Amino acid sequence: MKKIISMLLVSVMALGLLAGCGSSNSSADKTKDNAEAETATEDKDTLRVALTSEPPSLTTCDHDSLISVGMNMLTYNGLMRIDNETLQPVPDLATEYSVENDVEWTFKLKEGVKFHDGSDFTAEDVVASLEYAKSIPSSVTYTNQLKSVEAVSDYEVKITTVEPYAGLLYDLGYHFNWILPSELIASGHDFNEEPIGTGPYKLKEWISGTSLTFEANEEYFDTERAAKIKNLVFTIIPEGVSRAIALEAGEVDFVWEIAGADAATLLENDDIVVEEVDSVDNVIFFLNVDKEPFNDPNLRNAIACAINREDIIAGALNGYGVVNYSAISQGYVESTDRGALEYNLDKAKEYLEAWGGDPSTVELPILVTNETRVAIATIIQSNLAQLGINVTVESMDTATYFDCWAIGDYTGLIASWSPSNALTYVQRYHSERRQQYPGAVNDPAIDALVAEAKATLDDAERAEKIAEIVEAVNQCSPQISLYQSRWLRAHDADLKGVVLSATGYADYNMMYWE
Amino acid sequence: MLKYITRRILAMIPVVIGITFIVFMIMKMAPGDPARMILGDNATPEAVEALREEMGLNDNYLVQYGRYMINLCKGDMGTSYKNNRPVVDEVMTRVPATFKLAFVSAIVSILIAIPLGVLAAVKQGTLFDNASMVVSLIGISMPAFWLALMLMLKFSLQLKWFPVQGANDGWRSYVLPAIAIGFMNMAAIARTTRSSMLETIRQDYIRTARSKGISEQEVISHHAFRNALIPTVTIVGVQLGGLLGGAVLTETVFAWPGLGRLMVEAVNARDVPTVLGCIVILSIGFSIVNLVVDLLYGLIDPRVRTMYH
Repeated sequence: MKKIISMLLVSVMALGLLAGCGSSNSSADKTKDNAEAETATEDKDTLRVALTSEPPSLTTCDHDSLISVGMNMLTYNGLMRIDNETLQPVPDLATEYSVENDVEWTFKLKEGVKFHDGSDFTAEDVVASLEYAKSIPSSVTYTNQLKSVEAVSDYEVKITTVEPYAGLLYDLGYHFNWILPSELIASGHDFNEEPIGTGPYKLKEWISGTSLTFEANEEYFDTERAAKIKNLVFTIIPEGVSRAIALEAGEVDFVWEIAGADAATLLENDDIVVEEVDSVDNVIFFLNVDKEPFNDPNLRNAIACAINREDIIAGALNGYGVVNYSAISQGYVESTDRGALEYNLDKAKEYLEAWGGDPSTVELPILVTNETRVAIATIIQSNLAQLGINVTVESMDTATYFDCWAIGDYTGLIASWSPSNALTYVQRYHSERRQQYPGAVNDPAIDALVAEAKATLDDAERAEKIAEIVEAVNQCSPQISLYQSRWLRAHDADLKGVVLSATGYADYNMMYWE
Repeated sequence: MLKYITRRILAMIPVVIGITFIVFMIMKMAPGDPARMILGDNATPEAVEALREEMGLNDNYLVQYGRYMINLCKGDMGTSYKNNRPVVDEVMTRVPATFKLAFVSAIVSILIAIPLGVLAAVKQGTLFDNASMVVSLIGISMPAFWLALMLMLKFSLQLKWFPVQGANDGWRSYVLPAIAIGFMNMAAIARTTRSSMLETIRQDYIRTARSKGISEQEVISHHAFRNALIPTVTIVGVQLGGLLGGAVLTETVFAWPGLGRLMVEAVNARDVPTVLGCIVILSIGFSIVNLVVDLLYGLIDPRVRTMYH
């Protein structure tokens, strides 16, 4: 018995030593290398992407998840699409559009387009899809301006808006309003299980918790934007370090989200490209304007001036962020920092004096949901301590956090916002948003400016209206901008055609292997 | 014996009911509105309220629980709030990966720990004993998360022997997660085996066996080892039961498509049907492991066997 046990132990230890000291020239390794070389050749028609989590849905309009939208972009098209480089709406399934009386929009449609199930795309599909989107409660922000949608002919659609609305083209470019086959909508087809659209890829397989596989749609209507790589495999790797190692080990070709700490290692690897994306994702410090003393703009302005954004970027983000003081993300054509309150402790003290209260009586709990935001809130805590304001950091799970926000049970919280256009961005300052988020901005003057901006179809005039809104919000600091995220993506150096949008998307169909 | 097994299987029913009831109530009392989660930030309060009504979330908790249990008896675990897919499909997709990993890592840990524990007890006070207990202490203290990353760096990135992530590469996929989990469990089993063996070899009947001239090897293997096994089987059972619920951290690091990861994601999303689905599987799995452990007691110790009748 003793001998057997000893032999077993020796074997285990020897195996361990062998593992520890094994050289890369072992026969097992050579076999593996050969297998990998073969796989690599085969894989050149495949792009393997590591995602952080599984998409909650593959349908068009029952989610607002960044990952799901990325999947939607593969399988569906809209009348318009948001160009990932310019963030401007451009025709997609439409060929051209015109507007009459400021409310009647006519769209001419592309002919010869087929859905993945082989059926033809016509105006009826547009009508059915937009009506379907209107029926889904979570789509309301992007469909509530659609008064009616009519098929003028097989390839012409007329959309009438409730009032003159400058955001229509953007709304049509959002996933909520993308086009599904009318017959499948009528039959109650499950688009989550089988997403049938006109997109450049078709879903081949979805293994829950593991991967999603797509294959190129050989009949895609837009030859320029047709898939260059035949197969797309999205693997779910929740842990950041594992994603980085998987890329280095050659198990994936593209990593959607890389942490700053991992990027440092990847930057030293010549076979890997790390892309830094200056996003329009604005991270904001919300104050509940319904709660005293935060209903006083002078106190809010004092807080805005006392927060050192550079400290936040250096201390909580490893330098991967861009300071933003303005009530809109920088990066849109209409972005402005007019009237923005920058970091200035003396100015903060002046605002505090103007407020007139005792800062030591101010209790400011900040709700946060993850470690990065805990670090941000801690830096704010330290900044505001200089004014004598007592900040506490309350970390909680996402569900509780959203619940507190939805019922107005918060004083301060940190959130982010990254719409694809400036008009959508500033609409968050309308008091209508208080339906979703009690405690948000409540100013009739700002409401009026937002309404005017929405109704202004002329781009230059609308930009001016947007600047007025931003300036007005900047002067009362209900939502204090902190920074814009600098996202890190990494991929195999041989992968070309990578265009990453400031809103967080990529056109996988445009990527190709060198 | 059959009667005993049937009785134990029937006893699982109140266990599952009790556990699901407690978890259901905790999930319901926790903040976070599932309707709000499903509809997202853009939905109006009216739409949220309409969905709450449609989902029966405005009903009394007991009514909701009763409805859940009735559907469960029909094999319907409900629909995930998070992704609108049937929970039974979601859960059953994850169960094989979790169960296979649990058994492989249990085998790894048993194969190493039991010989290590026995030998450490037999060689008590020697360098081998001290060294093996230090290794065990390291195993217990070392975070599985860290060990998993170290294994990944060495064996996946440098040597390229095993895959970094997933369960798609046959037996090679199991090696690193099984070692990461197994090493931690190995430590506890080895320590338990050692202390149990030490206690057993000091018993009078062992002294009697030795005085009868039986060889030391036979004393240890035939007389001491079997009697010392009961605490070891107990701890293996407890660990295996725990693993059936998924080793969350290891599953996360290796992107293992297991039940643990599913459950944690569901808890974060307040996805009550998915959480309950995982809990049902977990509690049944734990109950079965406990039953097997009890049956093993009978196999090991004839005195226990008499209690089955």
